[in-house]
Amino acid sequence: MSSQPTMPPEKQPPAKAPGLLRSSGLVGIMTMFSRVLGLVRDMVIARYFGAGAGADAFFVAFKIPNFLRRLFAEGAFSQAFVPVLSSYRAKHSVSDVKRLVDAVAGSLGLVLLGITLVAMLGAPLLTAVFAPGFLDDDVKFALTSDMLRITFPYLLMISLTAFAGGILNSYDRFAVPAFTPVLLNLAMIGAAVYLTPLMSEPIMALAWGVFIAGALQLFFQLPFLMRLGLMPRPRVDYRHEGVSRILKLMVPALFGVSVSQINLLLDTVLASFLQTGSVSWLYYSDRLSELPLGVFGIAIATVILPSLSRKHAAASNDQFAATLDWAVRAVLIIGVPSALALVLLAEPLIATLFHYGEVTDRDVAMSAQSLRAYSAGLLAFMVIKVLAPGFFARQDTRTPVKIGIIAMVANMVFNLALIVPLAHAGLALATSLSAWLNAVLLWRGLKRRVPGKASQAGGNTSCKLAWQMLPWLPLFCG
Amino acid sequence: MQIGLANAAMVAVILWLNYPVMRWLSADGIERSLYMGVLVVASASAYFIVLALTGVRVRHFRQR
Repeated sequence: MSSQPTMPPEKQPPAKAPGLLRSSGLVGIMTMFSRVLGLVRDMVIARYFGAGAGADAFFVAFKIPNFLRRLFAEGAFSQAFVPVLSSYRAKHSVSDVKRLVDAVAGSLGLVLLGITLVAMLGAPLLTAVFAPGFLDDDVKFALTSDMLRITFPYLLMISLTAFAGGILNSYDRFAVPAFTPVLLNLAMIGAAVYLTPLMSEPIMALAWGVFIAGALQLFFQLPFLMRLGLMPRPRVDYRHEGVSRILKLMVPALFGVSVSQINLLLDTVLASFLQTGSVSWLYYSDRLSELPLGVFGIAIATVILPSLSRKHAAASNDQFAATLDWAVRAVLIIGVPSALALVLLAEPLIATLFHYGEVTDRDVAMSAQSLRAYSAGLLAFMVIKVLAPGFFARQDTRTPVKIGIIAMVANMVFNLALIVPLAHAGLALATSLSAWLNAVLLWRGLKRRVPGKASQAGGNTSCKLAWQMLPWLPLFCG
Repeated sequence: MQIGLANAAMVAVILWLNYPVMRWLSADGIERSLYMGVLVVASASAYFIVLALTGVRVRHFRQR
């Protein structure tokens, strides 16, 4: 539990440092593969289970642990753990790093095990909170609770997977964590095809698919941790200096992630007051605008966090700023054409992917409107993804949260102002406008904290490109 | 400037090759998918070719 530097950093295992471009490309390709397989998974589920009561029950039973995973494992925990681990690698001995990993594994594992057991026991209560509409239908309600008991341990397993993935990312082993989500899609496709005929209640196959996916994803990463010599031997120790630092960083980060989740929730609540179809139009257009964001934005954000954390730990302001500048330029070179293409090809893209069966010509037109509105904010969504790690790497999780709250309030104001004239597209446009506000405030905050030359250059690059974007503005309003 | 030119080239290719909306809506799934593939490849090629012609190289984005 010692936090004294006992060995110089050069005694650590030599870290191979592949270029950020190559790493981002690798993570992007893996993420793209996973997203495409996710689409295939949705098609298989639709084919086997349609949109009946069973499918409704499953989507809720899967949504609850998945929502908590976003909030906790992949959101707050990863953002707090990676910078602390990087600072341990830079300033402490290998055995101190190992002790940190053991203490985090034990402490995190125990909390998650407790939450999982309580949730499994209180599954009906959770169902009532997340799906109050099911209370009127006893069969659907009971089915959801039964499936929730099977799907909830997924939270435990996927959180430990995120922990293992955080370690691997810190050691620049990006490919393994990036490939892992593919296993979820494969397990669910496999369960739908092979387990369904074996179940008395066919939809239960999907719940078991989720459970198997959690186990597969966790066990898949373990050999790679062993190879790094960092296979955890869980030890509960909440007083470990690193664990308490992670906990301190997690609280605001947890709030920061919640802000975006609350935003999404409020948008859905407002959309439910609009004409029938509005929620679906927003869902379809969001799925499309998420594609470039999910593939490129998240890929770049994933690989720069460990790099920025190392540069901050080494107190190298200029290199820190240069890495941020690289990330912003990389986002611009992909984000600008992606946004323009989504605007120009809104109807063709929606028609190609979703215009089948029950989806009408009007649905395509309405979804295209909200897709254009989301595209106006695509660049901002991507810039936020790469600027926020600039704060996390400096172990400052409070500032992005404060900015997130300002953006959330602005989003509500924009929502109320735009929902009457533009209906569902107004909600999408409000999301985009508040994302721009968020991005500008993050950039200003970083500029103040990182006075290196490169950050000025990055600012200039951004300004020039923003200027070049202006002539295209009418397209987004079309 | 280079990115502005590349985006202009991409937009020009899309506007030139794109079908009217009604044709997209009446086409079958295979035709829509194939033509979307053509549009994506053509517009992405235009973008990256113009970037290369104006002097942007992959090495400018290499960073450790």
